[in-house]
Amino acid sequence: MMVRAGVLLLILTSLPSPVTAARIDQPHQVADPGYGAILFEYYQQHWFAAMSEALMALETGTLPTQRQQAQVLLGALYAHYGMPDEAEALFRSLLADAVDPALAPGIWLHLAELHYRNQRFAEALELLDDQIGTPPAELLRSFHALRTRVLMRLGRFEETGAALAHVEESSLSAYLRYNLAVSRINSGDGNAGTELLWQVVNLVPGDEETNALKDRAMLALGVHYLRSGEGARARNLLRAARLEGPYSEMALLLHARAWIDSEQPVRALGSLQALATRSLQFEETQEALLSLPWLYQLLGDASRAAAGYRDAIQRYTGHYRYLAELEKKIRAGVWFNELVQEPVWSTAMDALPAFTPARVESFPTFRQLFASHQFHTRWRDYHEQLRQLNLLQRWQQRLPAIEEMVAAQIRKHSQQVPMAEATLLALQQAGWPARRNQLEEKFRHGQQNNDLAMFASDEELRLLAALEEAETLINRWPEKIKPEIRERFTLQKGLLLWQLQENMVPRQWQRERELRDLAPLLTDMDDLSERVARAAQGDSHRVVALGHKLAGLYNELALLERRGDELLQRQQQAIEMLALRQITTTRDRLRAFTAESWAGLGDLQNAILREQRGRSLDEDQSALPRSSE
Amino acid sequence: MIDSDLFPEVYVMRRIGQGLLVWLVLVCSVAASELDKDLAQFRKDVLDINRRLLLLEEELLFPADTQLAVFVSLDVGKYFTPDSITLKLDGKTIDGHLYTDREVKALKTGAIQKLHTTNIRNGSHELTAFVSGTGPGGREYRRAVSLQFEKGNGRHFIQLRMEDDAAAQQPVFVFRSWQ
Repeated sequence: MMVRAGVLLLILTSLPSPVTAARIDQPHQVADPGYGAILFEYYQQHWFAAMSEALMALETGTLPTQRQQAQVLLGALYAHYGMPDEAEALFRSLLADAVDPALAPGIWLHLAELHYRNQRFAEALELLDDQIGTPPAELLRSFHALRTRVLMRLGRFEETGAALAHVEESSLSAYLRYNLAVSRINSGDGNAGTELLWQVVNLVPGDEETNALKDRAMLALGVHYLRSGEGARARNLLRAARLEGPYSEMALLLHARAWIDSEQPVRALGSLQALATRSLQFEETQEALLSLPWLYQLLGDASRAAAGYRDAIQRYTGHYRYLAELEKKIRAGVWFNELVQEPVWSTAMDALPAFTPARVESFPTFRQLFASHQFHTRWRDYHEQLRQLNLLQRWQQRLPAIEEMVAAQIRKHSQQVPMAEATLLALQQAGWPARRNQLEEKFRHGQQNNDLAMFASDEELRLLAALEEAETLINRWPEKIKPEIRERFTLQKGLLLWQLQENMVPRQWQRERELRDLAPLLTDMDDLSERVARAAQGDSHRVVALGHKLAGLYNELALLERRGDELLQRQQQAIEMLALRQITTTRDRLRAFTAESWAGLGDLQNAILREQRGRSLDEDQSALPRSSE
Repeated sequence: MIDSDLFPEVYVMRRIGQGLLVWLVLVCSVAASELDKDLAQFRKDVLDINRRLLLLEEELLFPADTQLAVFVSLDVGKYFTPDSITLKLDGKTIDGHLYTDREVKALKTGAIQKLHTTNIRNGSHELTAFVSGTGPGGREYRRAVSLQFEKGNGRHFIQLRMEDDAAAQQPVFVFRSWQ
């Protein structure tokens, strides 16, 4: 039964599928990994996670080239997620901001989809025709699918057919064909409608969804033939209907109706008897219970007719009592609690669970309700709300850990900032730039004065010093120094000076290069110290800000959780209200059927009495002695 | 159909009942519309707080100066379907991932997976990815690929691109690194 209701739901709700869903399988041109990461969630239908990823990416700057694409995707997700105002605002701002021309048709299409959802059909068509006109190849299918739906809503069926020709053969196309067919039949164009319905009926049997759509199309055809007095065609068609599936009860009822319309009521018995054995929770069974005794009566079987009326009254009364009990359960919240199964979430970003109300006793009673778009929307919203509350609770659980991380940062900050400040002060006091300038001045001075000692190695300096000392001694006692020694001294000195002089250029170049290398080192040191200073200064602001943010988030989370709980209650009440409304409708119908059953029984008994009376009168008259003529 | 002249009380009661029903339906639809608006606002607020919390957490766990993010992409995927991937950074295993069918499908459609985020110091590092999956001809396929990279200031991103080499009819694994 759950599958049946699910199939019904799919049929009823999948028609206005979002534009994005139609393009979901199309490969995207991805340049920014940030954008690709959003698509990673999006393609897995993790809508909430995709939105979170998109919002993060837009804020952290990981979309250098595909920011607009990410915004378009976010807008589509908003629309799909029940946030149409947000979506519209985003699309309009994108269009106002000179969006990339390649993206504009997609955005207009999203906006048109929003208009369609809000039942602004004329505006939707205007956007499609005036702003897009000829859609690019990748939007062709989505464009025509939407345009077809809009035209159908506007009742422009002739144009709808032309638009539908652009939509390729697929399940979406089958849904559209079905809706278009029904719309055409209702507007009086029966031939065109039946042609389309036959196309759906003749689809190759497939999954439950396809089979249910085929059944539904068959029923629609049957109803149309019955209405247009083509009983034989209706019978032939309905004979082929399946005895299982969400439309089997309706098929049985219509089959009986077709035979009755063809004035062969005896052949309607089988379908009605089969239907009468099914659960009274189906509307068709309720109707069959009343029709069956009427049919017996028509066929002249008064005793079975009377029994049938009594059985109907008894079962209607029993069902009426059952509905009273059910109403009590709904009002007490028991029904809802039984119906809802708490989903098990692995992460807060999980996709919503499938539509699976628990198969409780009352499930068939609300088959129509479960198949309705209204219920399905509320049901999905309720689960989405559960997921969001789950997300908030998980954040509540994680907040202490985040708080500890902030505290650790504050502790680290309080230890490291004084160290950084002390280091910066030591650096400042060392005066490295000034010392480098002094060195440079000294170098230039030595260079200009051809100061050999300045560029000598340690060994050469030692030798120079020794020579100077020796020269001093020679000059102090010149008479004691032999001429050959003096000559040797002069030679040695000359050799050393020659050696120094000869390598002067590479020596100066070497020193100059060392001085030059000091400059970037000092620049790096400046940068580093500036960064340390900024980090020490900025980090204190950041850490303090983190602390404030965290305190605010605690409160916001608690408030949001309270709001979420209230909304959950309201959603439950809204779903219960739908169920109660259906109970009221069913009760009214049961009351009317019971009254009709009583009336039928009364008429039957009256007829029997009249017949008996007539018969006894006839007998009395025949028993009377005949007067002689 | 009730004749109002014959049964005036019943008629009046029925009309009141109808009026109440219309009123109830109107009240319900207004309430539903308000509920939808409140739900949309709530979702917006939850998304906003979720974004702020995620950013705060990322800021605390992976500061911009030390952050390294590793992405994985699959181009075409005709010659390779990944089953698992293991990441090693400077010889230490930092992450492993088993792919679901939906993830593979998403990758083949063009999505990029943010596989891992971590903190590293500035300087030279080596990242190695061990990839296993189904290769050409449906055979099991294993491959290791390494990247030497220099981490500077600011966020660092690395993307492992699994691509098809149509000429060789083999998959190729390429790293792309940027800051």
